[in-house]
Amino acid sequence: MRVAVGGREASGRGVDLRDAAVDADTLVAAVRDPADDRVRCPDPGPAHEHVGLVGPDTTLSLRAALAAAARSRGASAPQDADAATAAAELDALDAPAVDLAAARERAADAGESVDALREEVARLRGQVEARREVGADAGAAEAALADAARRLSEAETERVAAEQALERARLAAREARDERERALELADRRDNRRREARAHLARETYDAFRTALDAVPGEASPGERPTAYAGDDVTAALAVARVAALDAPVVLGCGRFDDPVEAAETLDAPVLLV
Amino acid sequence: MLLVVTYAKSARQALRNTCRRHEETVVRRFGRAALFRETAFGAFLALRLRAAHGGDVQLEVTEPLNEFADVPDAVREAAEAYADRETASTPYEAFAAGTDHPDPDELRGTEL
Repeated sequence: MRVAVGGREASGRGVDLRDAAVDADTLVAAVRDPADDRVRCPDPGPAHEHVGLVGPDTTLSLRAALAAAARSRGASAPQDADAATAAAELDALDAPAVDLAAARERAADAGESVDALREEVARLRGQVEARREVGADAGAAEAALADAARRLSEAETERVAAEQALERARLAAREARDERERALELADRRDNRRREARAHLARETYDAFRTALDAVPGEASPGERPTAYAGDDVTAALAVARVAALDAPVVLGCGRFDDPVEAAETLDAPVLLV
Repeated sequence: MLLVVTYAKSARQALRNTCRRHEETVVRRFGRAALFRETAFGAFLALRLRAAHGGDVQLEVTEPLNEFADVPDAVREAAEAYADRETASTPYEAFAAGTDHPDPDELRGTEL
């Protein structure tokens, strides 16, 4: 690991940057960005996302962090194959989007036009009859009626066409939704298997975690399983970091270490002290 | 009632949240679907889901089925007779053969 940041240049497993003009978030971003030359180091593995930055307010999902630590050491879970199969099937699935809004609106508009024109035709027919009854000239009213009747006929044709189009769109949507339903089932299966895999890996790693707790600064009572852990998240994060195989440096701003070399030995990982 | 069916994780989660917050408008919940009261507020909740999740929210209007009014008598009678058959393993097609009961293809081809 080589560091050139905040007016400091250093290399080695443990680097003290407490006097450098740089904050923890900037540092961890530089660690994770392979293009950022301020910190040159190997790629952060799966555990770095969880315990790559340990500050005074660090929070941790212990199960997920332990599972990532197990993965960083090359462990796998019995659920991995099924999760991968579901993920691959999901990727291969082309579930088309469903959008019937335009077809619904066209059908509704067509229906409203027909209703409005029917009323207009009835009104104009009344006018024609009224004028004929009193012997007045009905020519203009008859022309208006004929025009309205023609527009009504057109509107009725449009309504039939719009309803047929909506029905076709609904049938197509039904097939698309079969696919989307399948996609949802696959996503659920993938996520459930992944969750089970995390739980499995966390349980498998728990003995190593309990041992690591004795080596890191901080008090905690681990119990028999991840859900029984009683203690603060910083202590847990330090123990997870010790368990995990970390090639990229852990940024430590938790105030529990004075000596960067000692911190690197305790966590069995490269360390940047801030 | 308004039937709301979801087809994506995000839409399903949003439906769950809606159901939790608006119990008075939700008549029934089933997994990723629910029935809302047929009120303007029920429609508002349903349309809000559709506005946020588009085609992943299917909306239908349901109505109760009255088998004495909405279904041909022969269909209702066939269903009752078949439910009351002597041999549980007899498929409906065999049950209907040689009787006045409609055959399955005839049923499939008849719209209500």
